[in-house]
Amino acid sequence: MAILFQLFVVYLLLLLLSFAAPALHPILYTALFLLVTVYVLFTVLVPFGSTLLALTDKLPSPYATLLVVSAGLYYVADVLSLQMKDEGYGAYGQLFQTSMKVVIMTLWLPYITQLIETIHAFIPW
Amino acid sequence: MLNFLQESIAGIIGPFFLLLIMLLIASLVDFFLPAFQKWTRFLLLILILVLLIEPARESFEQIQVITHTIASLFLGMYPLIAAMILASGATFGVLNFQPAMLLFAQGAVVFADKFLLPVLLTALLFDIFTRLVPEIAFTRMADLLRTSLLAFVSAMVAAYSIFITAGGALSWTMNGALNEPLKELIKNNIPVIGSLLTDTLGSIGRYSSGATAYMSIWLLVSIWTVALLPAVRILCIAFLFRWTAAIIEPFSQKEVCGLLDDIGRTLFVLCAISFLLTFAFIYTTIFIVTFIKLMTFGK
Repeated sequence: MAILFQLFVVYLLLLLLSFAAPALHPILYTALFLLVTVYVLFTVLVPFGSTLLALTDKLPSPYATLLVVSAGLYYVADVLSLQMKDEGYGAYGQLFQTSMKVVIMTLWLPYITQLIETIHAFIPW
Repeated sequence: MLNFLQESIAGIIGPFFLLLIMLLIASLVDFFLPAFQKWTRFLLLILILVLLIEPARESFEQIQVITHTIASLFLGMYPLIAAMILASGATFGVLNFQPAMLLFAQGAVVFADKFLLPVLLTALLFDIFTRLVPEIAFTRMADLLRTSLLAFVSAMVAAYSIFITAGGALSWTMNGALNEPLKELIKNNIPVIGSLLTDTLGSIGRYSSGATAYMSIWLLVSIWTVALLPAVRILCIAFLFRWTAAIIEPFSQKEVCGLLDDIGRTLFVLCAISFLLTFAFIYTTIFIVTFIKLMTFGK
Protein backbone atom coordinates (compact mmCIF):
# COMPACT_ATOMS: atom_id res chain seq x y z
CA MET A 1 0.00 0.00 0.00
CA ALA A 2 2.84 2.36 0.90
CA ILE A 3 4.36 1.91 -2.52
CA LEU A 4 1.31 3.44 -4.21
CA PHE A 5 1.71 6.53 -2.03
CA GLN A 6 5.45 6.72 -2.79
CA LEU A 7 4.82 6.42 -6.52
CA PHE A 8 2.27 9.19 -6.41
CA VAL A 9 4.67 11.46 -4.50
CA VAL A 10 7.35 10.86 -7.14
CA TYR A 11 4.80 11.71 -9.84
CA LEU A 12 4.00 15.03 -8.11
CA LEU A 13 7.73 15.69 -7.81
CA LEU A 14 8.12 15.15 -11.56
CA LEU A 15 5.27 17.57 -12.30
CA LEU A 16 6.89 20.17 -10.06
CA LEU A 17 10.28 19.63 -11.76
CA SER A 18 8.79 20.25 -15.19
CA PHE A 19 7.75 23.72 -13.98
CA ALA A 20 10.84 24.49 -11.92
CA ALA A 21 13.52 23.43 -14.40
CA PRO A 22 12.14 22.71 -17.89
CA ALA A 23 15.62 22.49 -19.41
CA LEU A 24 16.78 19.85 -16.97
CA HIS A 25 13.51 17.93 -17.08
CA PRO A 26 14.49 15.11 -19.50
CA ILE A 27 17.63 14.07 -17.63
CA LEU A 28 16.00 14.41 -14.20
CA TYR A 29 12.95 12.49 -15.39
CA THR A 30 15.12 9.66 -16.74
CA ALA A 31 17.26 9.42 -13.62
CA LEU A 32 14.28 9.48 -11.28
CA PHE A 33 12.43 7.01 -13.46
CA LEU A 34 15.34 4.54 -13.41
CA LEU A 35 15.68 4.85 -9.63
CA VAL A 36 11.98 4.29 -9.06
CA THR A 37 11.91 1.41 -11.56
CA VAL A 38 14.70 -0.43 -9.76
CA TYR A 39 13.01 0.24 -6.42
CA VAL A 40 9.63 -1.05 -7.60
CA LEU A 41 11.28 -4.01 -9.31
CA PHE A 42 12.98 -5.19 -6.14
CA THR A 43 10.20 -4.42 -3.68
CA VAL A 44 7.17 -5.54 -5.67
CA LEU A 45 7.81 -7.43 -8.89
CA VAL A 46 10.64 -9.78 -7.87
CA PRO A 47 8.95 -10.93 -4.62
CA PHE A 48 5.67 -11.38 -6.50
CA GLY A 49 7.39 -13.42 -9.23
CA SER A 50 9.15 -15.66 -6.74
CA THR A 51 5.89 -16.22 -4.83
CA LEU A 52 4.27 -17.21 -8.10
CA LEU A 53 7.14 -19.59 -8.81
CA ALA A 54 6.96 -21.07 -5.31
CA LEU A 55 3.49 -22.34 -6.25
CA THR A 56 5.11 -24.58 -8.83
CA ASP A 57 8.09 -25.60 -6.72
CA LYS A 58 7.16 -29.26 -6.74
CA LEU A 59 6.89 -29.50 -10.51
CA PRO A 60 9.89 -31.03 -12.25
CA SER A 61 9.78 -28.94 -15.40
CA PRO A 62 11.27 -25.46 -15.98
CA TYR A 63 8.30 -24.18 -17.98
CA ALA A 64 6.71 -22.09 -15.22
CA THR A 65 10.04 -20.38 -14.45
CA LEU A 66 10.56 -19.78 -18.14
CA LEU A 67 7.13 -18.20 -18.56
CA VAL A 68 7.36 -15.93 -15.51
CA VAL A 69 10.97 -14.85 -16.15
CA SER A 70 10.32 -14.05 -19.81
CA ALA A 71 7.13 -12.16 -18.91
CA GLY A 72 9.15 -10.10 -16.39
CA LEU A 73 11.88 -9.37 -18.93
CA TYR A 74 9.26 -8.36 -21.48
CA TYR A 75 7.59 -6.04 -18.97
CA VAL A 76 10.87 -4.31 -18.02
CA ALA A 77 11.83 -3.84 -21.68
CA ASP A 78 8.36 -2.52 -22.48
CA VAL A 79 8.45 0.06 -19.65
CA LEU A 80 11.97 1.24 -20.46
CA SER A 81 11.26 1.61 -24.16
CA LEU A 82 8.06 3.55 -23.34
CA GLN A 83 10.18 5.92 -21.27
CA MET A 84 12.54 6.37 -24.21
CA LYS A 85 9.52 7.12 -26.42
CA ASP A 86 8.44 9.76 -23.89
CA GLU A 87 11.72 11.52 -24.40
CA GLY A 88 11.26 11.42 -28.16
CA TYR A 89 13.64 8.52 -28.85
CA GLY A 90 10.99 6.16 -30.26
CA ALA A 91 13.35 4.42 -32.67
CA TYR A 92 15.87 3.74 -29.89
CA GLY A 93 13.11 2.31 -27.71
CA GLN A 94 12.08 0.04 -30.56
CA LEU A 95 15.67 -1.21 -30.84
CA PHE A 96 15.76 -1.88 -27.10
CA GLN A 97 12.53 -3.84 -27.22
CA THR A 98 13.61 -5.90 -30.21
CA SER A 99 16.89 -6.90 -28.57
CA MET A 100 15.01 -7.92 -25.42
CA LYS A 101 12.71 -10.07 -27.56
CA VAL A 102 15.78 -11.75 -29.03
CA VAL A 103 17.04 -12.43 -25.49
CA ILE A 104 13.69 -14.01 -24.57
CA MET A 105 13.77 -16.14 -27.71
CA THR A 106 17.28 -17.30 -26.76
CA LEU A 107 15.86 -18.54 -23.47
CA TRP A 108 13.23 -20.51 -25.37
CA LEU A 109 15.50 -21.85 -28.09
CA PRO A 110 16.27 -25.26 -26.45
CA TYR A 111 12.55 -25.95 -26.11
CA ILE A 112 11.86 -24.94 -29.70
CA THR A 113 14.59 -27.35 -30.80
CA GLN A 114 12.94 -30.04 -28.71
CA LEU A 115 9.59 -29.24 -30.33
CA ILE A 116 11.05 -29.63 -33.80
CA GLU A 117 12.63 -32.93 -32.78
CA THR A 118 9.31 -34.17 -31.40
CA ILE A 119 7.52 -33.36 -34.63
CA HIS A 120 10.37 -34.95 -36.55
CA ALA A 121 10.07 -38.16 -34.54
CA PHE A 122 6.50 -38.49 -35.79
CA ILE A 123 7.52 -38.75 -39.40
CA PRO A 124 8.15 -42.46 -39.92
CA TRP A 125 9.92 -42.27 -43.26
CA MET B 1 3.90 -54.50 -8.98
CA LEU B 2 1.89 -51.79 -7.24
CA ASN B 3 4.89 -49.46 -7.39
CA PHE B 4 5.27 -50.09 -11.10
CA LEU B 5 1.58 -49.42 -11.64
CA GLN B 6 1.77 -46.18 -9.67
CA GLU B 7 4.81 -45.03 -11.62
CA SER B 8 3.26 -45.74 -14.99
CA ILE B 9 0.02 -43.98 -14.04
CA ALA B 10 1.96 -40.96 -12.72
CA GLY B 11 4.02 -40.92 -15.92
CA ILE B 12 0.88 -40.62 -18.01
CA ILE B 13 -1.24 -38.35 -15.81
CA GLY B 14 1.61 -36.14 -14.54
CA PRO B 15 2.04 -34.07 -17.73
CA PHE B 16 -1.70 -33.34 -17.80
CA PHE B 17 -1.62 -31.91 -14.29
CA LEU B 18 1.47 -29.94 -15.22
CA LEU B 19 -0.51 -28.46 -18.09
CA LEU B 20 -3.37 -27.49 -15.74
CA ILE B 21 -0.98 -25.64 -13.39
CA MET B 22 0.80 -23.99 -16.31
CA LEU B 23 -2.55 -22.76 -17.61
CA LEU B 24 -3.26 -21.20 -14.22
CA ILE B 25 0.07 -19.35 -14.24
CA ALA B 26 -0.39 -18.37 -17.89
CA SER B 27 -3.79 -16.86 -17.15
CA LEU B 28 -2.24 -14.88 -14.24
CA VAL B 29 0.53 -13.60 -16.52
CA ASP B 30 -2.05 -12.71 -19.18
CA PHE B 31 -3.98 -10.76 -16.59
CA PHE B 32 -0.93 -8.65 -15.69
CA LEU B 33 0.52 -8.36 -19.17
CA PRO B 34 -2.13 -8.45 -21.88
CA ALA B 35 0.54 -7.56 -24.47
CA PHE B 36 2.33 -10.82 -23.66
CA GLN B 37 -0.65 -13.00 -24.67
CA LYS B 38 0.76 -14.17 -28.00
CA TRP B 39 3.96 -15.33 -26.32
CA THR B 40 2.08 -17.25 -23.65
CA ARG B 41 0.02 -19.01 -26.28
CA PHE B 42 3.17 -20.04 -28.13
CA LEU B 43 4.85 -21.30 -24.95
CA LEU B 44 1.76 -23.36 -24.07
CA LEU B 45 1.73 -24.92 -27.54
CA ILE B 46 5.42 -25.82 -27.14
CA LEU B 47 4.64 -27.31 -23.73
CA ILE B 48 1.83 -29.46 -25.14
CA LEU B 49 3.91 -30.65 -28.06
CA VAL B 50 6.97 -31.49 -25.96
CA LEU B 51 5.26 -32.98 -22.91
CA LEU B 52 1.79 -34.19 -23.79
CA ILE B 53 2.51 -35.65 -27.19
CA GLU B 54 4.88 -38.10 -25.53
CA PRO B 55 2.04 -40.51 -24.48
CA ALA B 56 0.57 -40.26 -27.99
CA ARG B 57 3.95 -40.96 -29.60
CA GLU B 58 4.49 -43.93 -27.27
CA SER B 59 1.14 -45.36 -28.35
CA PHE B 60 2.09 -45.07 -32.00
CA GLU B 61 5.45 -46.72 -31.34
CA GLN B 62 3.79 -49.52 -29.37
CA ILE B 63 1.41 -50.25 -32.23
CA GLN B 64 4.30 -50.32 -34.69
CA VAL B 65 6.21 -52.77 -32.50
CA ILE B 66 3.12 -54.98 -32.23
CA THR B 67 2.60 -55.03 -36.00
CA HIS B 68 6.19 -56.11 -36.51
CA THR B 69 5.86 -58.80 -33.84
CA ILE B 70 2.68 -60.22 -35.36
CA ALA B 71 4.18 -60.19 -38.84
CA SER B 72 7.28 -62.06 -37.67
CA LEU B 73 5.14 -64.53 -35.69
CA PHE B 74 3.23 -65.29 -38.86
CA LEU B 75 6.38 -65.55 -40.99
CA GLY B 76 7.92 -67.89 -38.42
CA MET B 77 4.87 -70.13 -38.19
CA TYR B 78 3.83 -70.18 -41.83
CA PRO B 79 6.17 -72.94 -43.14
CA LEU B 80 5.27 -75.11 -40.15
CA ILE B 81 1.56 -74.54 -40.63
CA ALA B 82 1.81 -75.25 -44.34
CA ALA B 83 3.61 -78.53 -43.60
CA MET B 84 0.96 -79.47 -41.03
CA ILE B 85 -1.85 -78.75 -43.46
CA LEU B 86 -0.20 -81.01 -46.01
CA ALA B 87 0.33 -83.76 -43.43
CA SER B 88 -3.19 -83.80 -42.05
CA GLY B 89 -5.87 -82.97 -44.50
CA ALA B 90 -8.60 -84.75 -42.55
CA THR B 91 -7.98 -83.01 -39.23
CA PHE B 92 -8.06 -79.73 -40.99
CA GLY B 93 -11.45 -80.46 -42.52
CA VAL B 94 -12.96 -81.07 -39.08
CA LEU B 95 -11.85 -77.68 -37.86
CA ASN B 96 -13.12 -75.65 -40.79
CA PHE B 97 -10.42 -73.07 -40.27
CA GLN B 98 -9.70 -71.19 -43.43
CA PRO B 99 -6.05 -70.59 -44.33
CA ALA B 100 -7.24 -67.77 -46.57
CA MET B 101 -8.55 -65.99 -43.52
CA LEU B 102 -5.17 -66.28 -41.81
CA LEU B 103 -3.61 -64.73 -44.89
CA PHE B 104 -6.23 -61.98 -44.82
CA ALA B 105 -5.51 -61.19 -41.17
CA GLN B 106 -1.79 -60.91 -41.84
CA GLY B 107 -2.49 -58.81 -44.92
CA ALA B 108 -4.45 -56.46 -42.66
CA VAL B 109 -1.44 -56.18 -40.35
CA VAL B 110 0.90 -55.28 -43.20
CA PHE B 111 -1.70 -52.88 -44.59
CA ALA B 112 -2.00 -51.18 -41.19
CA ASP B 113 1.76 -50.85 -40.89
CA LYS B 114 2.44 -49.57 -44.38
CA PHE B 115 -0.64 -47.48 -45.06
CA LEU B 116 -2.99 -46.82 -42.12
CA LEU B 117 -0.40 -45.68 -39.55
CA PRO B 118 1.45 -43.24 -41.86
CA VAL B 119 -1.86 -41.72 -42.99
CA LEU B 120 -2.95 -41.28 -39.37
CA LEU B 121 0.39 -39.66 -38.52
CA THR B 122 -0.07 -37.30 -41.45
CA ALA B 123 -3.49 -36.33 -40.08
CA LEU B 124 -1.91 -35.61 -36.69
CA LEU B 125 0.83 -33.49 -38.28
CA PHE B 126 -1.81 -31.50 -40.18
CA ASP B 127 -3.58 -30.84 -36.88
CA ILE B 128 -0.39 -29.66 -35.19
CA PHE B 129 0.48 -27.30 -38.05
CA THR B 130 -3.06 -25.91 -38.08
CA ARG B 131 -2.80 -25.04 -34.40
CA LEU B 132 0.71 -23.60 -34.68
CA VAL B 133 -0.19 -21.37 -37.65
CA PRO B 134 -3.96 -20.79 -37.45
CA GLU B 135 -3.94 -18.68 -40.63
CA ILE B 136 -3.09 -21.74 -42.77
CA ALA B 137 -5.72 -24.27 -41.72
CA PHE B 138 -5.69 -27.96 -42.64
CA THR B 139 -8.63 -28.94 -40.40
CA ARG B 140 -10.80 -30.37 -43.15
CA MET B 141 -7.87 -32.30 -44.61
CA ALA B 142 -7.12 -33.93 -41.25
CA ASP B 143 -10.80 -34.74 -40.72
CA LEU B 144 -11.04 -36.25 -44.20
CA LEU B 145 -8.01 -38.47 -43.58
CA ARG B 146 -9.40 -39.63 -40.24
CA THR B 147 -12.89 -40.42 -41.49
CA SER B 148 -11.60 -42.29 -44.54
CA LEU B 149 -9.29 -44.31 -42.27
CA LEU B 150 -12.28 -45.23 -40.12
CA ALA B 151 -14.15 -46.30 -43.25
CA PHE B 152 -11.24 -48.56 -44.26
CA VAL B 153 -11.02 -50.13 -40.83
CA SER B 154 -14.76 -50.78 -40.55
CA ALA B 155 -14.79 -52.32 -44.03
CA MET B 156 -12.05 -54.71 -42.94
CA VAL B 157 -13.90 -55.63 -39.76
CA ALA B 158 -17.01 -56.32 -41.83
CA ALA B 159 -14.90 -58.57 -44.08
CA TYR B 160 -13.72 -60.47 -41.01
CA SER B 161 -17.29 -61.04 -39.88
CA ILE B 162 -18.28 -62.33 -43.31
CA PHE B 163 -15.32 -64.72 -43.35
CA ILE B 164 -16.24 -66.09 -39.94
CA THR B 165 -19.95 -66.56 -40.61
CA ALA B 166 -19.12 -68.13 -43.97
CA GLY B 167 -17.01 -70.68 -42.07
CA GLY B 168 -20.24 -71.99 -40.54
CA ALA B 169 -18.62 -74.17 -37.88
CA LEU B 170 -18.19 -71.25 -35.52
CA SER B 171 -21.25 -69.79 -33.90
CA TRP B 172 -22.02 -67.17 -31.31
CA THR B 173 -22.60 -69.31 -28.24
CA MET B 174 -22.70 -66.63 -25.58
CA ASN B 175 -26.08 -65.50 -24.37
CA GLY B 176 -27.22 -62.78 -26.73
CA ALA B 177 -29.77 -61.27 -24.36
CA LEU B 178 -27.07 -60.74 -21.74
CA ASN B 179 -24.77 -59.11 -24.27
CA GLU B 180 -27.00 -56.60 -26.02
CA PRO B 181 -27.29 -53.93 -23.26
CA LEU B 182 -23.51 -54.00 -22.75
CA LYS B 183 -22.98 -53.48 -26.48
CA GLU B 184 -25.41 -50.57 -26.52
CA LEU B 185 -23.64 -49.02 -23.54
CA ILE B 186 -20.23 -49.16 -25.26
CA LYS B 187 -21.70 -47.97 -28.56
CA ASN B 188 -23.28 -44.91 -26.99
CA ASN B 189 -20.51 -43.89 -24.62
CA ILE B 190 -17.29 -44.19 -26.59
CA PRO B 191 -17.23 -41.43 -29.19
CA VAL B 192 -16.25 -41.94 -32.83
CA ILE B 193 -15.38 -45.64 -32.70
CA GLY B 194 -17.97 -47.06 -30.28
CA SER B 195 -19.99 -49.07 -32.81
CA LEU B 196 -16.84 -50.29 -34.53
CA LEU B 197 -15.57 -51.49 -31.16
CA THR B 198 -18.68 -53.54 -30.39
CA ASP B 199 -18.68 -55.05 -33.88
CA THR B 200 -15.04 -56.07 -33.55
CA LEU B 201 -15.52 -57.51 -30.10
CA GLY B 202 -18.56 -59.40 -31.38
CA SER B 203 -16.54 -60.88 -34.23
CA ILE B 204 -13.70 -61.89 -31.94
CA GLY B 205 -16.14 -63.41 -29.47
CA ARG B 206 -17.94 -65.30 -32.22
CA TYR B 207 -14.67 -66.66 -33.46
CA SER B 208 -13.06 -67.63 -30.20
CA SER B 209 -16.23 -69.15 -28.71
CA GLY B 210 -15.95 -71.76 -31.46
CA ALA B 211 -12.46 -72.54 -30.34
CA THR B 212 -13.38 -73.27 -26.70
CA ALA B 213 -14.07 -76.84 -27.76
CA TYR B 214 -10.35 -77.32 -28.34
CA MET B 215 -8.69 -75.21 -25.66
CA SER B 216 -9.27 -74.28 -22.05
CA ILE B 217 -11.21 -71.14 -21.24
CA TRP B 218 -8.32 -69.72 -19.19
CA LEU B 219 -5.89 -69.89 -22.08
CA LEU B 220 -8.48 -68.09 -24.15
CA VAL B 221 -8.92 -65.41 -21.47
CA SER B 222 -5.17 -64.86 -21.24
CA ILE B 223 -4.86 -64.54 -25.02
CA TRP B 224 -7.69 -62.02 -25.00
CA THR B 225 -6.08 -60.01 -22.21
CA VAL B 226 -2.67 -59.89 -23.87
CA ALA B 227 -4.22 -58.90 -27.18
CA LEU B 228 -6.60 -56.28 -25.84
CA LEU B 229 -4.27 -54.59 -23.34
CA PRO B 230 -2.60 -52.17 -25.80
CA ALA B 231 -5.95 -51.19 -27.31
CA VAL B 232 -7.45 -50.50 -23.88
CA ARG B 233 -4.40 -48.47 -22.87
CA ILE B 234 -4.67 -46.31 -25.98
CA LEU B 235 -8.39 -45.87 -25.32
CA CYS B 236 -7.62 -44.63 -21.78
CA ILE B 237 -4.98 -42.17 -23.03
CA ALA B 238 -7.39 -40.87 -25.69
CA PHE B 239 -10.03 -40.32 -23.02
CA LEU B 240 -7.44 -38.51 -20.88
CA PHE B 241 -6.73 -36.10 -23.75
CA ARG B 242 -10.42 -35.35 -24.37
CA TRP B 243 -11.09 -35.08 -20.65
CA THR B 244 -8.31 -32.51 -20.23
CA ALA B 245 -9.59 -30.58 -23.27
CA ALA B 246 -13.07 -30.50 -21.73
CA ILE B 247 -11.74 -29.30 -18.36
CA ILE B 248 -9.53 -26.50 -19.69
CA GLU B 249 -11.96 -25.18 -22.29
CA PRO B 250 -13.46 -22.33 -20.19
CA PHE B 251 -10.17 -20.71 -19.21
CA SER B 252 -7.62 -21.57 -21.87
CA GLN B 253 -6.81 -20.35 -25.34
CA LYS B 254 -8.84 -21.85 -28.15
CA GLU B 255 -5.79 -23.39 -29.83
CA VAL B 256 -4.61 -25.21 -26.71
CA CYS B 257 -7.83 -27.08 -26.02
CA GLY B 258 -8.44 -27.60 -29.75
CA LEU B 259 -5.05 -29.27 -30.13
CA LEU B 260 -5.74 -31.59 -27.18
CA ASP B 261 -9.14 -32.48 -28.66
CA ASP B 262 -7.55 -33.27 -32.04
CA ILE B 263 -4.90 -35.49 -30.48
CA GLY B 264 -7.64 -37.33 -28.58
CA ARG B 265 -9.64 -37.90 -31.76
CA THR B 266 -6.55 -39.19 -33.60
CA LEU B 267 -5.88 -41.61 -30.75
CA PHE B 268 -9.44 -42.95 -31.03
CA VAL B 269 -8.76 -43.82 -34.67
CA LEU B 270 -5.44 -45.37 -33.62
CA CYS B 271 -7.41 -47.46 -31.14
CA ALA B 272 -9.65 -48.67 -34.00
CA ILE B 273 -6.55 -49.69 -35.97
CA SER B 274 -5.16 -51.47 -32.94
CA PHE B 275 -8.38 -53.50 -32.75
CA LEU B 276 -7.67 -54.67 -36.27
CA LEU B 277 -4.24 -55.83 -35.10
CA THR B 278 -5.76 -57.40 -32.00
CA PHE B 279 -8.03 -59.45 -34.18
CA ALA B 280 -5.13 -60.66 -36.32
CA PHE B 281 -3.18 -61.57 -33.17
CA ILE B 282 -6.06 -63.48 -31.62
CA TYR B 283 -6.81 -65.29 -34.84
CA THR B 284 -3.19 -66.31 -35.40
CA THR B 285 -2.62 -67.41 -31.80
CA ILE B 286 -5.81 -69.42 -31.49
CA PHE B 287 -5.17 -70.99 -34.87
CA ILE B 288 -1.70 -72.10 -33.85
CA VAL B 289 -2.75 -73.36 -30.41
CA THR B 290 -5.74 -75.30 -31.74
CA PHE B 291 -3.73 -76.77 -34.54
CA ILE B 292 -0.91 -77.95 -32.32
CA LYS B 293 -3.42 -79.47 -29.92
CA LEU B 294 -5.19 -81.33 -32.70
CA MET B 295 -1.90 -82.64 -34.05
CA THR B 296 -0.93 -84.02 -30.65
CA PHE B 297 -4.38 -85.62 -30.28
CA GLY B 298 -3.85 -87.37 -33.55
CA LYS B 299 -0.76 -89.14 -32.31
